Amino acid sequence: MDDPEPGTAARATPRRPDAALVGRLLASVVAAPIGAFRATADYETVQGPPPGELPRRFSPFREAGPPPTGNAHDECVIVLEDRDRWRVTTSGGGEYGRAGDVLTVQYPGHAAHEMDVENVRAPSTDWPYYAGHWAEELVLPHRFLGLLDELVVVDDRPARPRFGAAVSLRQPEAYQGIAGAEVLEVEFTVDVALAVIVEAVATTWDRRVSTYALEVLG
Amino acid sequence: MRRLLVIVIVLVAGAVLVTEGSAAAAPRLAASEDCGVRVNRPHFSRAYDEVHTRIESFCRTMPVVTNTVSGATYRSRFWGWELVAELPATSTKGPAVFAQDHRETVAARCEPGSLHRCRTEVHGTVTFPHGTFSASAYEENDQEILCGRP
Repeated sequence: MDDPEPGTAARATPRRPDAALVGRLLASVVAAPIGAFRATADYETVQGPPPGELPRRFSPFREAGPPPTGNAHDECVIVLEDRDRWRVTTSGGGEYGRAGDVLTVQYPGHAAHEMDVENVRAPSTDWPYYAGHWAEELVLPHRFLGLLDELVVVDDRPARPRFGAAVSLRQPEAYQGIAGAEVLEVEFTVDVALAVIVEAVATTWDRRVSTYALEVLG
Repeated sequence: MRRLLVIVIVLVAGAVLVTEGSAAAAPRLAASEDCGVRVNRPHFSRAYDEVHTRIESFCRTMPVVTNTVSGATYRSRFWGWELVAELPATSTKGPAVFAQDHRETVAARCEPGSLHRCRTEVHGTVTFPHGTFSASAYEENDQEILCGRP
């Protein structure tokens, strides 16, 4: 039987997860998943300095104009073979990959550029740098748990329990993950067997909702 | 007629919003604190009797082909910010360590004993084999600083 749509399942009273369940969420810290995944994000961007005002003290390089605002959809396919063997293809047309000591970066609309990892500073030698923090958190839940204030189980399906958590209001600078700026609540569903987050919903203080999903391709 | 005009304006505004939303997939350098421009707080230099600000255009992640930086310092007046020093764009060429981290100092003369808030803006452009990126930032004194030795 298929899992019901998020939000339509009969909800159990929120309870504290047991140690075994938390252990599954932390499994990725010991052994990162191997396989192919499609990660998607639908979110609204309202951040950034007001038009005409420069960022203070530091600003990262950008290719064209101010950061976009409004509803956005990001998607990427991540193929993980080993810690130093992976490929990331983004919906924007970027292709990034690492095969041992060789890092290949092909930004959208540009030719592929090959580099030796010794000449490239971490973290740009790792796949999450190109897929985004939110995709990293879906595949590696342990990177996400530390950002949560209080974790409870809100839907107790054995194979795919759903968790809920409060998040402290924070204004991270470089972080662009699920528990981003202004997010106060998150709910996420975990595939216990694979130890990955297959779906997450983040809600900001003013009820703006961002959704994230991970499809296992193989 | 006026109602028709309102409907047309709403439709055009909606189209603009949809276009902005789809721009999220526009090419961009992966967001990072490792590549960008940086500026420190304007301060009085006892060695030169000037207000100095260090500006920097840097990238630690990938070899740059060229790295260009420029800057300007302003001082606070009752009517706004007055330009007091300008550093024209200067470029360094890679591959070289000094091209990865291109630092310059914007030096502004000041009247001894004067008190002003200062603001420095930096603009940087780096060229990689796969494209050109740019960024701008500013830093300013939240309190007035003294030109001269206290």
